[in-house]
Amino acid sequence: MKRFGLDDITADRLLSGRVAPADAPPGYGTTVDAIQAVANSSSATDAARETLTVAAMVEAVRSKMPAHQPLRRRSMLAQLLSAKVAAIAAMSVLGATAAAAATNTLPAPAQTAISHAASHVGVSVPAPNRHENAHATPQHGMPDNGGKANAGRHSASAGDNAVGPDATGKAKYGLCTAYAAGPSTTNPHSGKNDSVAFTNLQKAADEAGMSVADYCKNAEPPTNDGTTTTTGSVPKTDTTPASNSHAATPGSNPHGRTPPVSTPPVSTPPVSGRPVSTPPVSGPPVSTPPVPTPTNSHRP
Amino acid sequence: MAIGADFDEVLSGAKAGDEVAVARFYRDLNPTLVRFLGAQAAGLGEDLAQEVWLALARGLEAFSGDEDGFRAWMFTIARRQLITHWRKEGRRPYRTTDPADLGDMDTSTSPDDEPDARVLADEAVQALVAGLPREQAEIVLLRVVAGFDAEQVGAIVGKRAGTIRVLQHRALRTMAERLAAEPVTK
Repeated sequence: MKRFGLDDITADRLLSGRVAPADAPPGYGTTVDAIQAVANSSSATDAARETLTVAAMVEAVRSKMPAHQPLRRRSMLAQLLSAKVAAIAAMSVLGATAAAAATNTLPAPAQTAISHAASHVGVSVPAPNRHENAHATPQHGMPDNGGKANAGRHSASAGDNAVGPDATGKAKYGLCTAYAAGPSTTNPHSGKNDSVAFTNLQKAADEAGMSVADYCKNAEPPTNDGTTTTTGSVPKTDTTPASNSHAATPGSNPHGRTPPVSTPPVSTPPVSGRPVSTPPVSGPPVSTPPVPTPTNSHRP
Repeated sequence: MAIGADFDEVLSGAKAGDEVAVARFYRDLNPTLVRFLGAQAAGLGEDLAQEVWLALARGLEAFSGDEDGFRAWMFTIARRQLITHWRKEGRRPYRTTDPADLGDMDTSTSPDDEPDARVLADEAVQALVAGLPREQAEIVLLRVVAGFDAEQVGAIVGKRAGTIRVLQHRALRTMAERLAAEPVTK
């Protein structure tokens, strides 16, 4: 049979199955039949393959969803905040501890540890007053009631039970050193200046008719000559670095001014000797899909 | 069959990982996809279609468009999948199934030894494009099986609509010459 040329419209209609075999152009009847056979054929769906494929697709779609990112960001923010909070808390504790240690008002074990540790970094922190020295005279720089000195720190008054160190005796140098350190930089409300020790220092200066700064100018490091075995209330000068000794020794201050503030490191070694660290966030970030997820009982 | 007015809702559901929405796309388009792929890679239509669906799922989040656009996108992926398959095979057939081999096709895969609808559909598609150059067969399949017009086919294969029309004319003439010589098996 002779075939006629097809125009574009007829060709389009043939291929889109819109031409019935009876209406087919001459020579294209069997072609229309073949096209109709394809158009009318139906393929049964393989249920097992469909289940597998759909489950895999759902998995792929969900793994690409950005729903995890905001949660992850929140998680990172939470970690940063946790770290900041932990750092602030640690600094507050350290600041208060440093002030308390400088005024010898910590419990004996803590005072011992800090005094020992601070001696290695050149900071003079008085050692605790042992119980057996609790009956020593105040001239030896020890409180006459031992641990009650701690109560005086909290009462912020020297007239209570607490007596505190003797600012005219061996404790003078240590008190002056602590005084020169100034207020706590991290905790200005630590009450350092209201402590019994500083009250004693102020009282001693008043009795000498001088300001505390002037009174501290002639503070000399006590010597460890064995005559006064007061076991630790004496600041160790042999571990004081040159810069600190210069600052805390008025006699070597050519300007005659108030001894410059010898800034003891705020980061007084922690009592436990372990660095403060932010606890790691355990476990993966919790993720919640943004849409209700259907039960996927078909998932392989 | 088309999704129609529900398309946007189904698409949103599928993007959110809704299994029902994903299954609706699959049921609507997979038979056509399998036929398109099986006609060009005999016996591999189902496997290749599965890979196309997974690739589609991975890129679904970035898709935006209507139902026609979605179907065109899926067949674009399918076409690339075929090219990848041929590259792995180390050969790219110039022609589809040789018409002489059509009678040797195994049609007894069902448990009852009766050719099922899927096999018959595959056979009908194979018979339609048998002997056509691959390029023409692809255009005929996209037009007849997938139902795209010349412009849409041009967008999928990266050719002008005029070129598509020239190629489809040639394909129709070749099909008419061959089919006139042998009756179509329905």
